[in-house]
Amino acid sequence: MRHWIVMVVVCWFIAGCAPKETFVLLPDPDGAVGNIVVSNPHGSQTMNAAQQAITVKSEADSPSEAGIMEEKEIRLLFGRALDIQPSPPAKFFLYFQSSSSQPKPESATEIPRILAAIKERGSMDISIDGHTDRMGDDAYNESLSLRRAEYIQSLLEQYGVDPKYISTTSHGKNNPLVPTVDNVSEPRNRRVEVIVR
Amino acid sequence: MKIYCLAMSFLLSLLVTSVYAADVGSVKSVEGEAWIVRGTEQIPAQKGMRLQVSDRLKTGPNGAMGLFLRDDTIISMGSAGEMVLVEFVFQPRTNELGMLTRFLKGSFTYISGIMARLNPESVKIETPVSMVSIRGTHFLVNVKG
Repeated sequence: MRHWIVMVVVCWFIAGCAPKETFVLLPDPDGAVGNIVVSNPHGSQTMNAAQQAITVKSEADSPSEAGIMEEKEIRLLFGRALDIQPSPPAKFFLYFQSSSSQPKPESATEIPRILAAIKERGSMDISIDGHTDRMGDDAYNESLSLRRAEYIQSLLEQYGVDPKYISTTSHGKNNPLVPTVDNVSEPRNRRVEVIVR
Repeated sequence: MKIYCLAMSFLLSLLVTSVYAADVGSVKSVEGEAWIVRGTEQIPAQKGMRLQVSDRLKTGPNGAMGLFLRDDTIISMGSAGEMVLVEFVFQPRTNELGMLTRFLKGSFTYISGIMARLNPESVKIETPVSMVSIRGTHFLVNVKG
């Protein structure tokens, strides 16, 4: 099984007879391995282990069975793309008292950590998403979640973050961390999520 | 009061919609020559540039580029690559999700984001002769040019 993949890649460089398409499964950043299905009108194949690979030789061929592709071959084909792959965004959660657009004191201390992440990553793409719990009506929560997000935005701007790198959205009560029914006060849902990319 | 509330939610929904419609992600890193082809324009890609639906992304013989999409999907491409962000709708609050990425040539890495977690069927990936469906996944694609 292992052999044909090596052959395929060696072939690629020597004779230019590489398969039209090559797919390789890798572990997610958290270490888990997902699964992917490669299909075309001639058939379909599944991969579910790290470093499994499937090739499709040409338009007329079905996807190959999955074989293992060695690290060295992966680097040869994908090194450049892997080297420039961005690391997953840094995420921060700030929590609020009921009806307030000021973060709780323990969340205010997240601001310096957010600024440090922006600096460290050289981020030019920061999302600030405001949320509420399900106390009160929709319009009230829409406006409250927007005020929360805008307040955090104003803090970051005070510390010199360029507003053109920031996109602020308001989710009201409709995107809870902890789902509840209406009119339940849930501190974990009264939050602003800051995503530093 | 009721009319005011309705008008307010309408305006807010416009605001959120327009943010997502205009901005489906951004360029995180660029090496060598890389471009965003938007309509008839070919714009040299730079870090921080915002991406739009229908953008075609290209790298030159020495180019490479890393991207973030709004749902935290991460895509990178090596040299002599070409791909298209065909479709991208990410509005979890109304459960409107849909994404189609087409890898045309070159080498790519792909780490799926929130959309694939919320509804894997909403995420579609196409290459010239195949389709890929995913379950929470980091994978690589090479398409011979």
